Amino acid sequence: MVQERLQTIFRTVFCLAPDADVPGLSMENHPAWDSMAHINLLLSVEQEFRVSLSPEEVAEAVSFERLQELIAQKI
Amino acid sequence: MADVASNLREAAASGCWSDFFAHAKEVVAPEDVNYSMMDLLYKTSQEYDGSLDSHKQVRIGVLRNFTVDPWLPCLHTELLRKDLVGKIWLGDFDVYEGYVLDPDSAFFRTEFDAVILMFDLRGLVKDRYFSAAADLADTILAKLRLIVSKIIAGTKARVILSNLPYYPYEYDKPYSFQTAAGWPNLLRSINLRIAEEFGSEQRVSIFDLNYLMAEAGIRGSVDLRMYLTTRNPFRLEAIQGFSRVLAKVVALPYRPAKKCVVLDCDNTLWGGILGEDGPAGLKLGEEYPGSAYSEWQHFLLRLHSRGILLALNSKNNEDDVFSYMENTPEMLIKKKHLVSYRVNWNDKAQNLRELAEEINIGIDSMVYVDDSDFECNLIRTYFPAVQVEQFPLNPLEVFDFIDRLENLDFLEVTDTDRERNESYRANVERNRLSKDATDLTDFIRQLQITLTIYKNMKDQAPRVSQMTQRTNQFNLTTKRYTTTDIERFLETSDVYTMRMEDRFGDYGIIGVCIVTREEDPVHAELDTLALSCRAIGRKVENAFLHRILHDLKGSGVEGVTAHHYFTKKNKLVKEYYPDNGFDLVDGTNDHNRFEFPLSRLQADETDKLYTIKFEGF
Repeated sequence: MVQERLQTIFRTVFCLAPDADVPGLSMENHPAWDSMAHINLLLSVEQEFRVSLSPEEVAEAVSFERLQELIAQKI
Repeated sequence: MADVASNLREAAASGCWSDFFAHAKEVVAPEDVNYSMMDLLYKTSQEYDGSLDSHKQVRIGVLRNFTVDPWLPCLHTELLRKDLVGKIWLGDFDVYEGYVLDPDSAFFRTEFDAVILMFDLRGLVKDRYFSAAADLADTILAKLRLIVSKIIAGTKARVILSNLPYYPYEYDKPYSFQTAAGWPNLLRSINLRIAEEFGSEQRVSIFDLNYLMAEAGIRGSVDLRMYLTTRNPFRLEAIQGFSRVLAKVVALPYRPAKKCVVLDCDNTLWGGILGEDGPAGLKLGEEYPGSAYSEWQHFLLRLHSRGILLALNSKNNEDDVFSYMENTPEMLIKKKHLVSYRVNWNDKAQNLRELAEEINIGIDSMVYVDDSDFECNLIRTYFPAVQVEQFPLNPLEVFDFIDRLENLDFLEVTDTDRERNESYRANVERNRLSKDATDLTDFIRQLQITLTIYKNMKDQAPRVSQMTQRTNQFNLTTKRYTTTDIERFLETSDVYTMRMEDRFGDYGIIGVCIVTREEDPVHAELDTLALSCRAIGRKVENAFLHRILHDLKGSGVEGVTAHHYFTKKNKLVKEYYPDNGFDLVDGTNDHNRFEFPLSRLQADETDKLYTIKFEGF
């Protein structure tokens, strides 16, 4: 469930094609994931899951997988 | 949701804006829209060219000294809910002065309808850890005055000036409370001075961010993490709430204005049912739940003082209602505040229709308020154009109800607004006179009408704009203009207005005509011609046109072009130009074009019916 909702946000933020490998995305392999996109992503995620990430967690959440783990810990 | 996202992107990429807005409407329908979606809507709609009548584009510039990026998608979504599309240009962080002091800057190269200014004290005062300089408020006010005046002089935009938000965190509490120079007091005095200095400026609207922040709770609206990492002081939730109000301020010049609030009585104007509980059993006044209904009546009187008409539509005995109204001190709304009423046992839809006819306003300019499901649905079914608001059953919800009422907001209140109530009431008396008169000419003579025709009166710009926004029936082209647009016309074209008075009172400005002369100096075009519906039926529209044509002829014009753009509401004016001797030269499904050679201009018999004065000629 978390994964699905998170995927929707990623698709919206990054304009992804329907067949894109969303869970494999990271800041490293996706150039559009810059610092601006990162803030947008986090605002969307915090609103969607009603969680709050610390500045350290924000710095750490640089891949889909890691972000998903952080959310799962908080809800 | 992913599908919606790609639909939006495709529609935007291929320029299918009607599809785009149809998708967008669904997206923004739920109250809670995810930020990623708001951001997508915002970004994908920036290429919109404003070509659809259904979705007006509002070009917005934002200058600021703190991070406001998350406001933009939120503001954009709130505007979209009002069928407005924000095209937003954001100035770089903290370079507002650089933009406005340089006439060649990127800011002045872009055209805006509105410029939003947002500043916080931390950005304005770099060393706030020390005591404030004695003249700090003066310095800040001088800075704001400079910025605002540069924007006013260099653009045609409205300025929306946010006052200063609270600090996210206030240090040094007992001490800082103690003197006027303490930071919280200083902030309040600066904000008060912003209201004093800019509140009466015609092109400046103040956005009271400070109040909204207090309303939401300072701690509840700030995000210290965001503040310390990105210099954005606010939580997203708070920004969403603030943006709703900001969008109201931005949208004010574009909103369809409502003219009349029609009220049910039982459980809407007071608590309880008059016929069952009796006057003594009704809830109204100091004690709860009566206090909630008193608040509501206070609000209604405030609307009344700004020119919104009030009327009753209630299933009750008329004598009982007015006896309660006039004899109960807690009852704030009295018979004298009502433009008209239907208190009877008839069908409320029929009553509403009669009220619209009697008051002489379009039924779509009415807001109907009733607590009953049944009555609300009845009115919605019969008159989809009426804005129906169901009054809450729980009196505690009354503030929220008032807060969410749309289309009853004001940017400025003109004298005509304040006098509107009297004017509509006088109309009811005129209607009685008209029943006694032998024919129309006799009726017009008995009214003893005086017309004053004005030319290019700058101080009338707000009223002229308002007329273009509000007039639907007698409006030949139905072009909607803001005060800024009218000011532009005053520089480049001729703006004629007409005031009407009769033995019963002063109607104020009831006629507007904008004449452009762009290409050929001997040829003029009637861009806009509108007459308030209160003035219809006295032939004054002919006298108005006739006098304008004479003035044009006097200034060397030889021919006049005029248009009638068809709308659902302006069928009334179909024969207006032909009746005044204009030739139909071109006609399509939605538009007729007319010409009038001024060599044909003759004396007009209708002139003799009135006393006519001129100003500004």
